Amino acid sequence: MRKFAPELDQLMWFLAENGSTQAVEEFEGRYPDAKYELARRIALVRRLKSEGKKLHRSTGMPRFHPVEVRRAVPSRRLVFGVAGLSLAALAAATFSLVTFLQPPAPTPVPPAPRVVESPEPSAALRAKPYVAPPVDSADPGVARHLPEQPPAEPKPRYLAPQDLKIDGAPLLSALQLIATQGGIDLTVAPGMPNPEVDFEFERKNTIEMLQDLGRKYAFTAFDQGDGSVLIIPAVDPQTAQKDPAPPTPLEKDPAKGTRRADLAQEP
Amino acid sequence: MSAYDEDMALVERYLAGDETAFESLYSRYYDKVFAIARGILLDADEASDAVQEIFTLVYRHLHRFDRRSRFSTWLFRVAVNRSIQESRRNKHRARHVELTETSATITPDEPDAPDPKIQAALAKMSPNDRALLVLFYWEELGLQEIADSLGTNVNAAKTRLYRARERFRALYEEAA
Repeated sequence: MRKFAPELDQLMWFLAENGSTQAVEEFEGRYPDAKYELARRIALVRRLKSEGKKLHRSTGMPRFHPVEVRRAVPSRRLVFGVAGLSLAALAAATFSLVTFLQPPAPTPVPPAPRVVESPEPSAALRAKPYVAPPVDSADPGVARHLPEQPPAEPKPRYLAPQDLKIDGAPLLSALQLIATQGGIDLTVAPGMPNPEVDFEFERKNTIEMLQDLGRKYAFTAFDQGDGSVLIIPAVDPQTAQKDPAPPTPLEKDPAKGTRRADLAQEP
Repeated sequence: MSAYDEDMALVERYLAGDETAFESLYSRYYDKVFAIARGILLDADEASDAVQEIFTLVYRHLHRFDRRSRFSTWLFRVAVNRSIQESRRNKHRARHVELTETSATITPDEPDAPDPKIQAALAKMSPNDRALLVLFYWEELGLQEIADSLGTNVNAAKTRLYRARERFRALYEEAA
């Protein structure tokens, strides 16, 4: 079937339906290519119109008698629309019911922070060791979020009070001895001074010994909490001012000889 | 008195209690309503039943006619809607019966016999498209009346008529 321009197409339909013989001849003279198509349309319209006239003529009229009117059938589009809406509502109701009946999901527990040991402490760590803020146990908000205390475990050896006396030994050797006696792993950062020291501790645990020596010899002992201690040759100035170094250990001055420091009073 | 005025007078008489006025309306429009139903349903018996239902609806609900349009337009709207509904209900049966009737009883020699090619093309169209062709070519209604009868506007009726005509032509030439 040949395609015509929309205007020409409409004109041909108009002529086929309403056109006079003169108008058709004029069109055929102007558009000879569309002559055959116009003739087909005229024939088609005539056939269609005559079909209607046949039906008008061929029927006899019965007498009118009111009848029972059957119920109208809804259109397929309406049926599918209502069915779709019903299914959607059913799905939504089911989802709501299932969601309502399910127990609430457990609150995810944040993972415990990992401690990464580094042989070379960072600059920030060397300058100012982190000091945990004091926890106010009276604050109900804090207390509410504290995890449940596990049952008491046997105290590790490095927390048990011990006695120790060192005379004229290098600091690093003394620290290693303390660590061995307390059963801990000691990691010493580079740049740690190693003067000769004398000291004596009574009824102190390993961590307390290291902390006391740290105040005296300007280093900080970090208890990693897993049986290892990190020694960094730096002191937090604020901590040092608030808590001056106890004079417990005996210090050996090579120029003046050995002198006795004051003993720290431990509770 | 014009046909419009005569129709309105008959409507008023019927609503006032004159049953014979309805008989007059029935006689005036039976052929047209039958042609519409026949063109949409494609079956003479079903069309005859549908016409009785259509006039029954008019008989019972004529008081709803608001007189803003012609009585004929309102009647054709009822006829088209009812015939399309019937066509949906009897879709498969109607086509089967009609095609059987056409092939068995109609010969081209009979002058008043339906054209089998036109009937075949109409049978392949939707009831809505058939309604448009029937109103335009058989009842020779204008676009405004067709729009009123189908419950749409003139532009939509024009577009739908153009498409229905193209579909019919394609199907007719296919059948030919």
